[in-house]
Amino acid sequence: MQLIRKISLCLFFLSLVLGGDKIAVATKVIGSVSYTRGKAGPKILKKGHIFESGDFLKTDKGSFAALIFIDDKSALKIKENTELVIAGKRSAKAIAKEINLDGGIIRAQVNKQQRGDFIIRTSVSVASVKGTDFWLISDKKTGDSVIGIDGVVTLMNQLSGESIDITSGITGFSSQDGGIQSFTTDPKTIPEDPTATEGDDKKLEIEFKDASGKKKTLIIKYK
Amino acid sequence: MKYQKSLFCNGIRIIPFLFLIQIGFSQTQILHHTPPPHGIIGQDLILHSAILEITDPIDATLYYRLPGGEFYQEIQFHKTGFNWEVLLPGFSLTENGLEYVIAFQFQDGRIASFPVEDPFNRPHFITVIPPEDSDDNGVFGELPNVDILILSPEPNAIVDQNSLLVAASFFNANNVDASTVRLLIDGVDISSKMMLEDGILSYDPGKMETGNHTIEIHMKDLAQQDLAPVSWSFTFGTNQKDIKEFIEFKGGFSSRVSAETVAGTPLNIAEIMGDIFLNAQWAKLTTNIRLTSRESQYLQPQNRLGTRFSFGSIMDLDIGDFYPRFNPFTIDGKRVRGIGVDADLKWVRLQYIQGELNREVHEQNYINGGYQILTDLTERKEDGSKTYYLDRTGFAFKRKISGLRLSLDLFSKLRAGVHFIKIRDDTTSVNRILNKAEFSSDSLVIGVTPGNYTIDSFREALTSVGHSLESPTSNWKGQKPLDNLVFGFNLGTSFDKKKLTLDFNWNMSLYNRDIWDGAMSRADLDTALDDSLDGWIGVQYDENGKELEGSSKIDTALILINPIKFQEIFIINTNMSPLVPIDINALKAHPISSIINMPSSAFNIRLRGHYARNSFLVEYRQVGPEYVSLANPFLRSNARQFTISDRVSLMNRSLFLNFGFKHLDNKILRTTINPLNTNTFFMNMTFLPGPGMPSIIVNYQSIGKNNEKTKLDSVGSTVIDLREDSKAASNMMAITVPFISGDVKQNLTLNIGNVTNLDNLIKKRSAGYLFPKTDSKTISINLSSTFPSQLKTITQFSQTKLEIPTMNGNTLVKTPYTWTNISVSANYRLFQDKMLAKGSVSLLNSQSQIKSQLLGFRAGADYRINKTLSASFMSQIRLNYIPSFKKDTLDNDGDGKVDNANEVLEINSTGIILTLQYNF
Repeated sequence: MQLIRKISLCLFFLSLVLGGDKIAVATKVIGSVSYTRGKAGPKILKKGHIFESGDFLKTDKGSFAALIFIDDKSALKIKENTELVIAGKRSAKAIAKEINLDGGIIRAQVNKQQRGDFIIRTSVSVASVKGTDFWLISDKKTGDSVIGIDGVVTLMNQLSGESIDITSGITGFSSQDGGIQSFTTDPKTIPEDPTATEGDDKKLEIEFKDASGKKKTLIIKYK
Repeated sequence: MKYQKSLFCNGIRIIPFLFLIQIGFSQTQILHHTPPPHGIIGQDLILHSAILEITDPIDATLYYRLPGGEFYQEIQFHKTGFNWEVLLPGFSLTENGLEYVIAFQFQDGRIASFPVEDPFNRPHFITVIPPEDSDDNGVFGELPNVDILILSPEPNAIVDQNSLLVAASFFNANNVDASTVRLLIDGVDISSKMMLEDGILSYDPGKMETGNHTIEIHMKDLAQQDLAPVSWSFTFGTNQKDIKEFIEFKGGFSSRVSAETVAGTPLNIAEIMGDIFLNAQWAKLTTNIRLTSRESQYLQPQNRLGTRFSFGSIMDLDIGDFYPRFNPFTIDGKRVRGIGVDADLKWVRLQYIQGELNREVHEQNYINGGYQILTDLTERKEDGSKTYYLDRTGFAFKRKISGLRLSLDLFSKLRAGVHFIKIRDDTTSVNRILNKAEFSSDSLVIGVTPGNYTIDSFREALTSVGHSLESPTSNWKGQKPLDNLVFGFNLGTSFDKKKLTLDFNWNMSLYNRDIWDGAMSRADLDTALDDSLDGWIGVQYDENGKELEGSSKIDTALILINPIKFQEIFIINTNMSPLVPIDINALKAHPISSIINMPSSAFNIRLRGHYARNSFLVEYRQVGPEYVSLANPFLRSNARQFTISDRVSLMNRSLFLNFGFKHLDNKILRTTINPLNTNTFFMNMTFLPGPGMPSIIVNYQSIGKNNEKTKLDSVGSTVIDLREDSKAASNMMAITVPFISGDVKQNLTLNIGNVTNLDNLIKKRSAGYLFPKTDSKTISINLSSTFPSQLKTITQFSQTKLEIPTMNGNTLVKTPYTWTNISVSANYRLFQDKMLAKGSVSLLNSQSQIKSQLLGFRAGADYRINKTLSASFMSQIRLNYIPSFKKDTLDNDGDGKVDNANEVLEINSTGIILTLQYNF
């Protein structure tokens, strides 16, 4: 019995050394999304999957995935045709997060009560964020666009070292040639978030109840 | 003589009642209150008080707050026949404990309070402990919380099939035993299907029924103690089904009728109380009503009617009775009848009040309650006739108040505000002439038959015998109309993520004791203190017109404000205080000290911190001798106080220590001789090891007083000893032991306390010196038992011993008084808990110079008629047994017979109380 306990303990510590830190959970998966861990082949991503640091994630055409980090509920939404590596280093109180985006479109909703660092890195740029909401469109041919939704994100071009702060309503562009600029966001360029636009017309039902308990419902339909 | 005897008899009868519920320390000769050993978190607490007064107070109020809090809440006591009672609402009893003050105000302006000394600066502290039934509630009212992060779905979110995943993170919950985690969805345990891996709980429930669902996570810590469950709701589908009702209303009404007789005096009270709450999402309306038969035109209002409109979290509008608060030095929860606006935009806040603190009262409903002859002011005319002076009495001016406070809170880093309050008595509010008010005239009015008269009949009577009457319609001799202006500012900041806060609050008052004559002009001021209209106030001259040296003079040109133009705000005349707000002579030499120590200023500087389970307070507070705020009549003036205290929780919040030191003195003015210094050290320990375990509460307080007097004083030829150097130590220990015997759950509480006073100058006193402080000892034992048959009993034994010092000639005599109380009370639930029958028997044995016993019976029931309606009935009777009345050769019961059997045993009091409660 003691031998089993010792073996179990050894296996436990071994798993801690060899295994990556568990850092996030997949909360929504639409279409064909796969992940790759270590040297194993790609596997289909399912809702509830727990990401370890170093997992590679790929969304195919028409697919979508959302994941949430377990330390501060920061969320990452990944649109179709996107490839990225999710990495994070766990400490006692926080996870230092780093997303290596290898092309595609993601939305980062970083909690204002974020405890660790949150960095998104592409081949061209580095976006360092704290308490913000933004889209990052990474195109290997042209560069990276950051569309600010809320808060502030610092966008830095890795080639030139220049950086700008992107705020709500502003789009920053970091190009392959080292340039970096910002301009007012054209609403048409904001990608659609499947978690916000799914379904048919939305309905708001307001239920009224009078003193006798009689109920009537007001239904408001909207897009 | 008959009156004296009656008073004596009634006094004898009344005294035992005053101590029926009293087992504690003797406080004053007017107000008696025994503080309970502790409160219980979330449970209502009834406090009792009794007064040794024949007349009822015009105001009986309990003020309470969280320890060290800025503001007091107030609740009115109500009379229950023998005692006054107030119910402290359960929500006010938290693990932090509670501080409270009892203040009874009488018609003649006297105030009796508990604690006796400086009550509002040194309120009584009671420990609050968790409920006995710890299975339902944790050590501090709730089970320990655990930091679990809800990942999915978001609470109250609408989720579709693709997004439906139950997930929670235990990343920050290190003390949870993973093997004890259970997941319930809609009350169904699906723990066997969930995944819990590396502190991440996940479960995909698949397709669910459209509608609302609830998720619960239950768990224990590594010590296998229950932790607070985490629960949240979500809606599956695309439509939210559980939209809150657009308009929500609720409330309740209760009526209370009591018919009691105390020592032959009937006391019947009827009251209706109610509250209505209306919530229309963006606006809320809350109304509180109290209608009582005690309402009288001869008193300040006893009825209450107040409505608050709340518009979101932005603005509150109060109409009727409300209780505004600016700060402890200005208005601090005193009732105002009028309008109040509180607009709070988070970073800026505006508070405005307008109304009245007192309403006008024209007279009292008794002889001499409207007029009184002041024979000392009778004037004799040259012709030998007299002019008699008839003064107005029994009135109260309408006291108007208006105030404004503007404050800022910038990013929780800087708090700042300014405020002012104007209070003025309306001299036009009281009837100048009362045609029907009766007053008595005695034989000192020569030629007029003694008896009761009205003003007209008395004038006629005087005229008929050649005298005249002076009855002024203003400038009455007694109460004067007052004027008060208070203004100030506050500054504050927070450090270290709000763990440390620093606040400074400064105020100054202008106070006028008599505004009958209105404001003075500059010329009036010039000649107010001297007779010379010379442009200087206070300059005196010798016979040759040369200025006398040593005059404290003020240049009228330096008076920036023209009193006449300023009179709408404040009336400036010689009755105001301060005449000069600052000591001009000292200003040059000690500018900062002069400003800080202005006699009409009040301020405090307070540092509060919350670190590592410590809550500490360091405060300096000073109220100048001439500082007055009529909106805060209980503020003690001429006092400066330094406080340092800490409250720390140890052993996983099982052990609480609360200790501190306070120094209080009245050395604000340099001219103060023999200041009274009071040094108080206090310590409280509360040990609550956990459910089913014994708990211990220990309180210790030491109060040292000295007035720095070293020599005896003399009044005329008499030498008196006014030296004070004493120490009062009070101890209290309460031990509660829960145990089970058979099927009966029991709680045994032992409470021991004593107060010991020590005179440090005892060796230096003369033989005839009376050290007038009373020592006391108290012990009580309570046993509460819960039987499986819906029966609960409480058996109580208590004994209080006092030693009251008196002088018998030159000999100090300590007269012992001992009260022993035994009582048994029981509650029994009937008819599926619809009815709660209640009864009690009590015996109070009083041993002092006169021995007596008091036997009391109470019986009644609460009945829940339906979900919204309940009724309560309670009856009581008390019998008084005084053996010595049998042989004292007096007619103690006034029945014309001496020493008959009825005198020994008589019905002291009876009462019936009916209550009806309706909630909707």
